[in-house]
Amino acid sequence: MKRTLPLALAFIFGLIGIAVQIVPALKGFLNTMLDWMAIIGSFALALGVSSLTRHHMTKIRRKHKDMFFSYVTFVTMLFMMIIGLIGYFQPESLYQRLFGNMYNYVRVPLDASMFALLAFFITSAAYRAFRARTWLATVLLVAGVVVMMGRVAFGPFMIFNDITAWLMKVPTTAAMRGLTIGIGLGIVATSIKIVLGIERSYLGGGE
Amino acid sequence: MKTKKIMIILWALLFCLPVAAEERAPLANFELKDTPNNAGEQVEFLFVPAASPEEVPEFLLHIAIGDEPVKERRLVNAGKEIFLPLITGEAGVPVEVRVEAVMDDGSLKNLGTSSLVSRGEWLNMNSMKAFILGLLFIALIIFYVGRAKKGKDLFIRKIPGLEAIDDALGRATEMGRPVFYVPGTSSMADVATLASLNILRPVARQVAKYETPFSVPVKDPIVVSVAQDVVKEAYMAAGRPDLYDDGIAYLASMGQFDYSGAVSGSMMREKPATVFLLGMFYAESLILAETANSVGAIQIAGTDASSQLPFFIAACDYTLIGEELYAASAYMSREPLLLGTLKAQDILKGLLLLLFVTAIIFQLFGIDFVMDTFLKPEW
Amino acid sequence: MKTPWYEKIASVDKKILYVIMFVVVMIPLLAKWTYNPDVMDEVQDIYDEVEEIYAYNLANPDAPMGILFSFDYGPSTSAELDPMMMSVLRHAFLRKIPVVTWVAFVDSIDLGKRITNFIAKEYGAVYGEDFVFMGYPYPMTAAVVAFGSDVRKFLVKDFYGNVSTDLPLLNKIYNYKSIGLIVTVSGTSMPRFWVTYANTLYGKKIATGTTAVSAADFYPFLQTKQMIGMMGGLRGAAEYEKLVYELETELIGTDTEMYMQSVYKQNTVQKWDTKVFTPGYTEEELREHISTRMTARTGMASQAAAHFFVIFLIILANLGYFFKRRAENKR
Repeated sequence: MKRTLPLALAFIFGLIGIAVQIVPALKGFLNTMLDWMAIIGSFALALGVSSLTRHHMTKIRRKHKDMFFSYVTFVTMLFMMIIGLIGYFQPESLYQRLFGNMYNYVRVPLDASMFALLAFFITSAAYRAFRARTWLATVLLVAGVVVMMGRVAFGPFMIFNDITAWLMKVPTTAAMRGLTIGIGLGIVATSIKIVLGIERSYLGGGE
Repeated sequence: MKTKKIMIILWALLFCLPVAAEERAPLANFELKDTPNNAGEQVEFLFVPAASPEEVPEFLLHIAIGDEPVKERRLVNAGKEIFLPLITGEAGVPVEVRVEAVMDDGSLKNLGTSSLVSRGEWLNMNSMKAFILGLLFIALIIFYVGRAKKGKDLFIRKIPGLEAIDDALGRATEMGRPVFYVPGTSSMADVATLASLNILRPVARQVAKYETPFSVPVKDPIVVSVAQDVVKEAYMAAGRPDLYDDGIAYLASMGQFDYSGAVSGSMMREKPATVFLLGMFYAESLILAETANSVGAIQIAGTDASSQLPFFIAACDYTLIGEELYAASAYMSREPLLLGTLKAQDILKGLLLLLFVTAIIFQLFGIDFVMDTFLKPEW
Repeated sequence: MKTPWYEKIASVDKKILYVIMFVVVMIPLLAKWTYNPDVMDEVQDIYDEVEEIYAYNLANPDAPMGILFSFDYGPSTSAELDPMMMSVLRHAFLRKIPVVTWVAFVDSIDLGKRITNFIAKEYGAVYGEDFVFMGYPYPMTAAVVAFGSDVRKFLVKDFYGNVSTDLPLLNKIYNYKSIGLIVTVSGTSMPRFWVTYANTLYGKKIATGTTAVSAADFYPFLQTKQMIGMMGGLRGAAEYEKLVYELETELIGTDTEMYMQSVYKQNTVQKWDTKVFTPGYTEEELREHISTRMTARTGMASQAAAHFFVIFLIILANLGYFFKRRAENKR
C-alpha cells in the first residue's frame, strides 16, 4: 500500500497532466491543479523552516564544534522574522524601515558578494583546468583563450573578436542544439518513466 | 427536375438579396469566429475598418454574450485591424455583435450584425504532434522493456562519472571524511531534480554500508522531504537504519546565494572527501565546485543546465553531461525496465535525427514537405 | 633540494591568485579607465531596429509604434544587466518612442520602477503620455497573451493605480499591433519564454539582453531570427552604451548635465507627476545620472584587465606544466 498509492497517484496525475494539454475542455482543471500546487507549496515553507530548525537544534544539542553558526542562524532568522512581522502590521514605522534597510544594505550586498566571488573562482578553475594535457584539452584551451581575448579585444587584437563571433555562432550553437535535443528527450523519457511507474527510486525504494 | 433547379436558384437569390441591398463598399468588414482548439470559452471578433478615419472616426459595437446585458464598446478608427477576444466562459453560448459606424457628423449608421454560438473542440490539434510522438515513445519503451526482460543484453557505453562513484565513496571511507550530496538548486518540478534523487538512492545505500558520514543540503523545502525519504529507505535497504538521522538531508537555505554560502561554509568546516553536484544548477555552480576542490574533495557533477556545464567541466573531476544525468539511474541499477527505456530513448533520438537529416536534404532540393509536415510546431 | 620553478608554479596558493585578481579588478575601477568596444552585429541590429521604429513614428505621428521593456531580472544580476536596460531606455526616450515597462518577478518591482523613472527623468518624459510602468503582471503568461488583443482588459490599472484606459499612451498602444519591439533583459530563461509566446504566437520582434554566462544559450535563436539581436554580458552593454552615447552627443551635445537641468528650467508648467519623479536635480543626483552613462564601459575596463590576467595565468600554468612534464620524461 505504502508503495502502490504514491505510484497510482503519480500515474493518475501524470495522465491528467497530459490530458489537459490535448483536451481543451479540461483546461479549467489545470487552474485547479495550479491552485493546489500553490497551497502545497505554502505548506512546504513550514516544512522547510521546521527542517532547518531541527537541523540546527540537533547541532546545538549535540554540542557540535560548529554550533556557533547554528546560533547565528537562529538569531538572524528570528530577528528578521520579528521586525518583518511588526513592520507588516505597522507600515511606515521604524520596524518597517529597519527591515527594508536590513534587506537592502545587508542582504543584497551579501548576495552580490557571493556572486562576485565567481571572479576569483574562475581564476583558480582556469589556472587548473586549462592545461594542454591531450590534444582535445588543447583545443579547449585555445578556444577559451581566443574567446577571452575576443571579448575584450581592441586595436590589433580585433581579429579575435571576429573569431569569437564565429566560435559562438557556429560550433557553440551546434553543440548547444545537440545538447538541447538530448536533454529534451531525456526529460520526456524520465517523465514517462515516472508516470508509468518504471522509475521509482525517487519514492525511496525500488523493490 | 427542372422545377427543382429553378427552386434552388430562387432560394439562392433570396439569400443574396440582403447582400445586394447593402452598399457596394462597406464601411468596415467584420466577422465573429470560433477560436480553434479551445473548449468554447472564447470566440474571436475580427474587425477591419475600410472607411478612412476622417469619414468614420469611431465605430460602436453592441456585444451580446448569452444572457448577459448588451455591452457597448467604442473602437477608435485608426485604420488598423482589430482582433477582439470575447469571453463566453463555456461552449454553447450565443454571441451577437451589432456594429454601428459613428459618422463624422455624429450620426449612427447600422453596419449589420454577426452572430455565432461558441463551440468547443474535443482535441487540441496543436498538441497532437507531441502527443503522437509520446505514444510512439511509449510503444518503443514497451517493446524494449519486453526484450530486456527476456534477457536480451542491452549495451550501454561506459559513463566515467558513474563508474567513479564507487571509488569516490570508498575514498571518503578510507579517509574517514564525509560525503556531500547536493541535489541541484531547483524545485521538484524540475525533472533534473528527480533524476538527481534517483541517483541519491544508490549513493546513500553505499554510504550507509560503508558507515561514512553523509550530508544532503537542499534548497527547496519539498525536495527536503523527498530527499529525507530517499535517504531513509536507502539506509534501511542497506540494513543500517540505526545510522539514519533526519538531519542528513536538511534545508540549508532557500535563497540562491545564501544557499551557496551555507553549503560552501559547511564544506570548508567539514572537509568532505567526496562531493556530488547533481541536478539543476544556476550561477552558484562554480562557487560550489571550486569550494569542493579547495578542500581536496573529488567532485562528481552533472547537470542539464547547458550554461553551467562548462564550469563543471573546468572545475570538477567528473561531469555527467546533459542526458547522462537522466541515464544514470538505469546505468547504475541495470534494471531491465530502466535499461529498456534508455534503449527506447536512443532509438527515438535516432529516428528524430534521421528525420532532421531527411528534412534538410529535401530542403536543399527546395522541397519543404518534410519540414512543414513533421517539424513545424503547429499541426 | 630546491623545488624547481615549474613545480612552484603548478602549486601556487589560490589565495595569492585571489589577491592579485582583486587588485587587477580594482585598479581600472578606481582609475576610471574606460574600454571602447567595437560594436558586434547582434547589438547593432537592436540599435537599428529602434532607429527604424523612430523613422516609422516620424512617418506616422498619429499611430506610433512603442517598445515594451520587460525587466526579467532581479537585484543579483543587476550589476551586469542594469547598463543594458538603461542604454536601450535612453535610446527610446531620446527618440521619443512610447515606452511601456513591466517586471517579471516580485523582487524586481522596485528595480523596474526606479530605472524606468530614472531614465525618463533625464529627458523630461511625461508619465502616461510618453511612458507607463505596469508593475508586476501576474500571471505573466496571461499578460503576454493579453497584449495580443487589448492589454488594458487584463491590466486594468497601472502600477500607480491609474485606470489604464485613462492613460493617453495606452489608448494608442494597447496591443502587439502597435508594439514595434520587445526588449527582455534577463539572467534567467525568460527570453526563451518571450520567443515562445510573443514571437511564435504573434510574430513580434524580440531583443534580448543577457548575462555573459547565459549568452551561449540564446545564440541559436539569433540564427533562426527568433530574436533580432542580443546584448551578451557587460560587453554587449558597453557596445550599446557607446552607440547611445554617440547618438546623444549628436543630438544634444556633450554637455548632458546642462541639457538635463535645462529640461526642468524652461518649463514652468506642472506637467510632471511628483509621484513618479520630482523634477529637477540635486548635485548628487546629477553625478549619478552622468556616471551611469559610463558604467558598462568602466566595468569592461576592469573585466578586460581580469581577462588578460586569466590568460596570463593560463599561459604560466601551461609553461609550468610543459616543463614539469619534460623533466619527468627525462627522469
